Order: sequence, then C-alpha cells, then structure tokens
Amino acid sequence: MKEKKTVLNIRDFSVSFEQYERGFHKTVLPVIRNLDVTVHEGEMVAVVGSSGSGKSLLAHGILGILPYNATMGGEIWYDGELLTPKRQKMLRGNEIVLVPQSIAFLDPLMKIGSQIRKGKKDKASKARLDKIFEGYHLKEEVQGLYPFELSGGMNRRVLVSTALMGNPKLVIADEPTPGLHMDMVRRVMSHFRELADKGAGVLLITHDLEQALEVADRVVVFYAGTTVEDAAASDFQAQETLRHPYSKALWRALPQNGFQFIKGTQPYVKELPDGCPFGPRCEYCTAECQKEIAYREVQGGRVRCVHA
Amino acid sequence: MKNYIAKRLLQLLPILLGITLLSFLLMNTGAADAVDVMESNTGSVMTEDEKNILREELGLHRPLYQQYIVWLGNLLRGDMGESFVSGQPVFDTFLSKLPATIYLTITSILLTVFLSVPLGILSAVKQNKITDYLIRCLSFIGNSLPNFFVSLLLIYFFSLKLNLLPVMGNTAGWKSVILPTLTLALSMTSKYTRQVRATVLEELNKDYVLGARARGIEEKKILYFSVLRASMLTIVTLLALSIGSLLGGTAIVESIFMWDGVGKMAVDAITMRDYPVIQVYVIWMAIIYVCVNLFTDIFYHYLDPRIRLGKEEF
Ligand SMILES: Nc1ncnc2c1ncn2[C@@H]1O[C@H](COP(=O)(O)OP(=O)(O)OP(=O)(O)O)[C@@H](O)[C@H]1O
Ligand SMILES: [Mg+2]
Repeated sequence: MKEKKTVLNIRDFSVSFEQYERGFHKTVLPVIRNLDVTVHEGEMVAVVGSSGSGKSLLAHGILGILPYNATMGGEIWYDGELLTPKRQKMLRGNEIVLVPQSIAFLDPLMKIGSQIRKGKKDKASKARLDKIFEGYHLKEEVQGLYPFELSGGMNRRVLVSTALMGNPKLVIADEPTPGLHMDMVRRVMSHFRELADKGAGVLLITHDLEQALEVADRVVVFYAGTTVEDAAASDFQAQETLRHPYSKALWRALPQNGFQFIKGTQPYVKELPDGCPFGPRCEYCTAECQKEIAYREVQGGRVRCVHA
Repeated sequence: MKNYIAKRLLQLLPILLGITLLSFLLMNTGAADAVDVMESNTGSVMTEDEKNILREELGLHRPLYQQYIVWLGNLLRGDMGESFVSGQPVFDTFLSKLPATIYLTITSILLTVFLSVPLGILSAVKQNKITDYLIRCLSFIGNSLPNFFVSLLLIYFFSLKLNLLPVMGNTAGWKSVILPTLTLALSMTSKYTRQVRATVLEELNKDYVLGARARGIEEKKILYFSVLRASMLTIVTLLALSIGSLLGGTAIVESIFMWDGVGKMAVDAITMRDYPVIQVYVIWMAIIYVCVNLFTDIFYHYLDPRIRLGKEEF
C-alpha cells in the first residue's frame, strides 16, 4: 500500500473533568483515556462507540473547544506538527471543520445564512452557500430562517453545510446523519467521501456501525472512553478477522449477523474496572486483563486486548 | 410588529381602567368624608346643612358608579382634586415633581449600565481569576451597604470634608445630582455586575458558543454578537424593573438629599395623610409598571426571533 500522509494522529489522548462534590471535595472524572486515532490523507475513519462513551468530547478536544473544567492529556498531531491551542484557534473553521452533533451548536438568535457565512456578505461566500444548499435541497429562504424554525431533517443538512464552506483538510463529523432519510444519508456521506477523495481526512463519529462500514475505510472501536480496536472496514466482513471481543460483539449485533446483543451495559466512568474496561462483560476475561493493557499491532490493525 | 404593539396597547385599557377603579374605591372607602376633611383643613366651621349643600355640589350624594365616572372624566382632563394640605391641584404638584425624579432616574441608570455591563462581562470572561475575585468582592461590599448609609458617607466626604459638592437639594445644577446618582448607582451597579456576570457565564457555557468557536469565529465576536445579545434579554428585563422603581421615586435617597421628586412627595403625603396626593402617586406607579412590562415585552419581541416568529397567541 502506498504510504499516505498522516493528517491527524492522536496519541494516548485523555479528557477528565474536575468536579466538586459535597462542598470542597474535588473528584476527577476520567471520561476518556488511552485514546489513539490516526487519520490519513484521503481516508475516512469512523469512530464507533455507544452513547456516552466520549465521542463528542474527542471531537471537541481536537478542535480545542472542551469546556473549561476539562483537562486534556496526551498528544494531538495535525499535519505533522503538534496541535497547540494556538494552532487550533487558527485552523478551526477553515482547515479543520466540525459538523456538530445538534442544532444547539447554532446561535438561536442569528439567521442561518449569516451564521454559516460567518457574517461575510461578499458575492463569493453567498454563491458558495447557495451552491451547498442547492446540493442538499435547501431552499434559499432557509438562509433567512432562525435555527428554531428548521425541521429535524433540515437541521442536519444545515449543520453539514456549516462544515463545507471552507476548504477543509480535516472534517470531524459528530453523528451527522440521525433523522435523515436514507437517500439524504447517502448524499451526506458521498459528500464526505468526495472530500476524502480530494485529499482531506474525514473523522466520522457515529454509533451506527452499519453505516460506518458502508462508507469508511477504517473503523476505530470506542468503548467507555478508550479505543479498543483499529480495523480496516473490510475486517468487519467476518468475525474471525476482528481482534477485540467487543468488536466481535458489535459484529454479532449487526442485523445480517443475527442481532445478538451481549448482556450488560457500558460502565459509567466512575465505576470503571481496572485494566480492560470491557472485562466484566467479556467471556475471555482473565487475571491479566485487570492490568494495564498495551495497544498492539495485530494483523495490520491495532487492538487493546491481551488475548487477540 | 406594529400589530403586536397595537394589540398590547389595547390590552392595557382594561388594566388601566381597573387600576383607576381600585384607587378610586380606595379613596372612597378608606379615606374620611371629603367634606369633613375640607372642614378641618380650612379651619372653618360648617353646619350640617352647609355640609350637605357642599356634598351635593361635589356630587357626593350620587351613587358610587356615577361618582367614579365623573372622577374618571376629571382624571382624564388632568384634574385629580386638590391636596388636603396645600390646597394646590395635586396633578400640577405631581407634574412639577416629576422632572427631578426622571432626571435622577436617567443619570443613575446610565451610570449603572456603563459600569455594570463592562464589569460583569470582564468578571465572566476572567472567571475565577484575580480580576473576577476583585470585581465580585467589590460588588459584594456594594450590595451589603444600605442606601442611606452610602449617602451619609458620600455627604460626609464630598460635602463636609472636601466641600466639593452640595449637601442637598436640586438647585445647584449638575453638581447636585452627583451624590444622589452615586448613591443609587452604587447599589444597582453591585447588583447588576453580578447579574451580568451570571448571565454571560450561563450563555458562554451553551453549545452554540462551542459551535461558533468550532466555526472559527473570533472570541470577541462571539462575545459581542451572540453572547451579549442573548444576555441582553435578561439584563434589560431587570433594568426595566429598576427603571420602574426609580421612576416611582426613591423615597430614602430623595429624602436624604432633599431631592424634590415624586418619591419625597409620596413620603410627605403619607405622613400628612394627604389622600389625593397618595392617589396620584398610586396611579402613577401603576402606569409605570404597566408601561415597563409593555416595553420589556416589545423589546423581547424585537430581540428574540423565537418569540417574534413563534406563537403569536399571547
Ligand atoms: N462538562 C462535563 N462535565 C462532566 N462530565 C461531562 C461533561 N461533558 C460530558 N461529560 C461526560 O462525558 C461522557 C461522554 O460525553 P460525550 O458527549 O462525549 O458522549 P458521546 O459519546 O458523544 O455520546 P452521544 O452518542 O450521546 O453523543 C458522558 O458520560 C458525560 O457524562
Ligand atoms: Mg455526542
């Protein structure tokens, strides 16, 4: 395989929150730890994890928009250089763009059009937005509406549009498609694919493995704030080519593989077990799993499991 | 928009009518017989017959609702009777006191806004830093000092010690408004700085701020165009309420500084049981509150598209 430039390289990333409980007792809530993701040029990487696993925080961490009580650890490299807060500020919104998870990320008191155009009124920006809207079947009037006036499906399309105004080299899409019709999902996905084919890296954050497999080149499986496996999308064709028990469990839960769900739920950050977070639900769990587990290269992918 | 304002104004009519009715009843049930009061005020002695003739002249023998209509008619023409104390028409007296109160309202509100909005924003943006602590500490102190104490302190330093400003009255031009304005603005600024800080912080923590940052909007623009705009909704409501109570005159401050406004007028009237003056004052207060509410609603309507374009049925 031809060596492609790495757009985004996240190493041992972590996010924790400081909270004050009962007066002045300070607790640290480690929501994300041991997170490793890379995105290459022209590649579409899906991060798949269930609700509350910290996917949005990952997206916000890359953009440098975590809440003020969050502490970030690890390293984020972008385009071969460390992504410092200063670079984040400079790059976001034009080289690095976000498709936010909900309409709450738009200013409720500002019209859609001027919001997406970032207040610019020149002809080029207007023409550009008109074209993007046309592609998503959004009428020109929509630009004059306020966020609260949009329907659920329109919301999504507008949110996706916000990311397409610049010339992104890295697109981070946080659950961009729920609530959309299947053909609109395809259209949105094909736009991301197009951006990837033009050389951008796309990080698609989703809880929908099926959808991720349809469009992504690689899938990073995310469990309780940790990346447990990094696999090619094609590895998901059979259970045997997967490396982590949780990925295999996800595979078995796919409709074509019989909808078999595993018991239990993802642990809450405060009740995380030592070592592998999936341990308590895993049939292969041994004493070794309760220790620190390395992220290893296995068969062209990576996995955080001693048994793989 | 115009329709909305017209509708709101129309809704005011029954409210105002109700208020006048209430204050009319208040007078006619609570107060002493007008003729008796007149007698004692003028010091003349009247026979019962003379009194009855006078009652007839004044229309007091008619049923209450007729009296109300006559009274209301007079009210609309600006005739609200004479003061029991001075014998002057109360409406004219009231009008002569109003400018002083309006003057003080404007100066103290302006000073408050110019101080508290920037301080509150600064405090929010520098959350939990030295600047924030300093501002919060000052506003805490300002908040806990009562108005009368502040005014006495100010008089002591600026008038008695430094001899810079007049002690009282509103006759010394712009100099005389400084101390009462400072007194009022100090406590309001303390209150509003905290309020502005809290509101701005709340807005800053909303997702749309993250969204704007992610789109690469400068922090300053986010603050001034989005956050402040949203915060204004809350702040203006509070300010409107303050303007309302200031227009009602600030009894303590006006009395201490002998500022000849409607607040002092009301206090004097209450001590003298000068019912017609109290009545004017009650109606004035009611009108202020109704107008302030109207203004706030219209402002919301103008600023918040969710209200303007959303449901029209309220
Ligand atoms: N400001 C915060 N303070 C404390 N905990 C937080 C904060 N923001 C998020 N969390 C916690 O971090 C965890 C991950 O949140 P995140 O929004 O990233 O999840 P997600 O994977 O995006 O979920 P979803 O699929 O529902 O969007 C949640 O369990 C949440 O409780
Ligand atoms: Mg999320």
